[in-house]
Amino acid sequence: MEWYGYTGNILNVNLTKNHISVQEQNIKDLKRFIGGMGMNCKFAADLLKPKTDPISPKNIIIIGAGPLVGTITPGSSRTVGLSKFPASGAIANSCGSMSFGFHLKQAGFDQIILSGQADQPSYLQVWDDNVELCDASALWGQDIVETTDLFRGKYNACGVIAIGPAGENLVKSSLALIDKTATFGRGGLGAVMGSKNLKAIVAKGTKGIQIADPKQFNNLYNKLFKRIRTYPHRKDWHKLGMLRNMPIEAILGAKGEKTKAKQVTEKIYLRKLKKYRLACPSCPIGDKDMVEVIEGPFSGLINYTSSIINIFSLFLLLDLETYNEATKAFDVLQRLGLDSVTIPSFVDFCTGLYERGILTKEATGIEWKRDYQTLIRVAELIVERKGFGNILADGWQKLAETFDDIEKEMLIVKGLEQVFDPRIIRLGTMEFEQVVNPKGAHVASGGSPTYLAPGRPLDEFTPHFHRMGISESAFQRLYTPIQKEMGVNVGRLTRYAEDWYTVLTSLGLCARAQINRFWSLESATAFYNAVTGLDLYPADLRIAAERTWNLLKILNAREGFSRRDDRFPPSWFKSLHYGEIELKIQDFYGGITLTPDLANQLLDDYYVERGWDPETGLPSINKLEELGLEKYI
Amino acid sequence: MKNTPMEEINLIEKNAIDIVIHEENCSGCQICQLFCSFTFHKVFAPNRAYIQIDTHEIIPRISFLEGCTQCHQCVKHCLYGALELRENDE
Repeated sequence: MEWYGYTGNILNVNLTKNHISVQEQNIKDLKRFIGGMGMNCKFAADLLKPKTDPISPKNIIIIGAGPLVGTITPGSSRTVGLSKFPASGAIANSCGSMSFGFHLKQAGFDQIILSGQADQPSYLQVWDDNVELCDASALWGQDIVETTDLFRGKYNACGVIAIGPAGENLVKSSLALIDKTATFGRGGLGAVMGSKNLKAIVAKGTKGIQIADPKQFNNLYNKLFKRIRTYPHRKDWHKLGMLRNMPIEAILGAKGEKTKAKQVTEKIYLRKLKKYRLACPSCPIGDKDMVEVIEGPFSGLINYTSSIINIFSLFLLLDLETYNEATKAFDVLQRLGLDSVTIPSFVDFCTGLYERGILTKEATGIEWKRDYQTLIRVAELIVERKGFGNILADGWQKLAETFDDIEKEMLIVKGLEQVFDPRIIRLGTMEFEQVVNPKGAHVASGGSPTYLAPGRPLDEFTPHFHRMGISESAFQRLYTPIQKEMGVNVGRLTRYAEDWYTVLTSLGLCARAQINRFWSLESATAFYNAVTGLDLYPADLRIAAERTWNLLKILNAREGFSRRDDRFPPSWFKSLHYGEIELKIQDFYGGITLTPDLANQLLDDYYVERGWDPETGLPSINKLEELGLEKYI
Repeated sequence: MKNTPMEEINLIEKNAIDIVIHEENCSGCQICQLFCSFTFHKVFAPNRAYIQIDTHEIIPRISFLEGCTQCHQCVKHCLYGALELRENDE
């Protein structure tokens, strides 16, 4: 069969047996589940046995790149990794960008399915048809940047997924990086790779991607490219990256922390840190960063990051002194393969316990402060699994088991700490998504017009609803909140945010707002058809996305997850003393302070909008039959 | 009326327009490469493009291969200011 967009090849790698084989895609499956994320879920349902220990040879890793990846389609560089994640015990997809998916497709593969455990430290080389498990003993213990640079030296242009010492030592929150820049696998993919003795995967391809209808593709591309090229904010994004969207300075200023706010200004970024703009293959926005520290003790440090916000956000949690210190701290975490949200959150939380006498220096070996030295010390102890670090290496749940009565204070859902606190930016779909996402507190799959825009006028929502492919029959329900002042029903809208995210991610498109805004379900379908030669309607993609999300939910129902795990952190209902301001969890328009009862009503609405049973929070039999998923129950 | 690619090429030769490279502005997006290989070979394959972006270095290295027709589509598709057209005064 001639394949377009898709390469048609799935790479199976049994690490235990060092056996590598290739199977052909099934076109029937591809019509029911789209590419990257969709097929990842399909393979997981077929291959991953329930209750598998995440840190065992029986766990699998599936890495997929959707049908548009490898082409010039704007923003089509997503790589999607599925596994059972050790931080939460959930089966989930995690996404990253940069060039791995691009090179994987160019090498002639849509997916890699990794199983088993190598008998020694290894890396997988995927260089066109030269697929080989290679010795990585000399790389074991090296940090991610060193590892990636070594591969870049050996293979020149290539895509690299690598882990650091945190993954090797099975730290449950460890992640991998793609091309030493993009985070991949928040929640412990690093540990899963480490448990398999898999230091890295390197892809390099020269085969090229054929598409079915070049003429139609050219028409679609030229129109979209022209729109992006002339978009008013594009030059600001090139100049400021993600700082254009996320005004950390304003957040700190509102908190009354003027000294900290001065460390994260546009001027500092442009004059003192920004070195080069980075873009993933095919991306016209390029909001990733290479930064360089140019003064002070860390002068000369160069860091690659998926967003300058990753660095500046450290000021929101900790009392760092300078932007240079923040850059260095971020670089240390990144090189080790530690999560730059998790570790600072540990330091913040444990310092709070220390101040109240619950943690002591004698018991932990640490004099807890929210400063640079403490952060680095804690990171080292976690990676080395020494002393108190060994507890933190096993995650929030282990910490909760160690000390009585502290779990209710943790800002976690299913073992993963929050990214956005709704008390600071109110409850939009991303904030709500942290509660219902099968993986735990995950925000990316909750994107909608509520993103970073509390109080946005309601009349601006409808064009986005159309763009996201939401059926008009749902509009009235979305504009029917549980209390009139709330304006929009965030619970119900989150269902469609997830489905839209699933469409983008399955195709291989970036879900960041900067690119997302240029796509609609109709245009995504048109590109998909032109690239693959399939003849699908937008509704087909919408249903495929819904089917994928439901299958993901079933996979986690089999693990024992249900409504009781979709739990608002109790602390969200307590006041947050933010400087001199007292913040409470409010609805998107700020007129209603949410109570646990109202939050539960939002959850009810989310489940009902999904066609799930509100009692269990799980897909109903009717819904599964409608989607043809009944065999997976 | 829009020029055909061949007319564009003739025009360029006539006006002696050079492509000026600003590697420090290159983001490594490879859009120029992908568009080039698609235009001339109907495939998305960076190694078959007449413009090459070496992302191995800290600053990407940009070069042109023999066979480049100077159609300048790469310049038109560069959104980062890495490629620029400039009249050659000589």
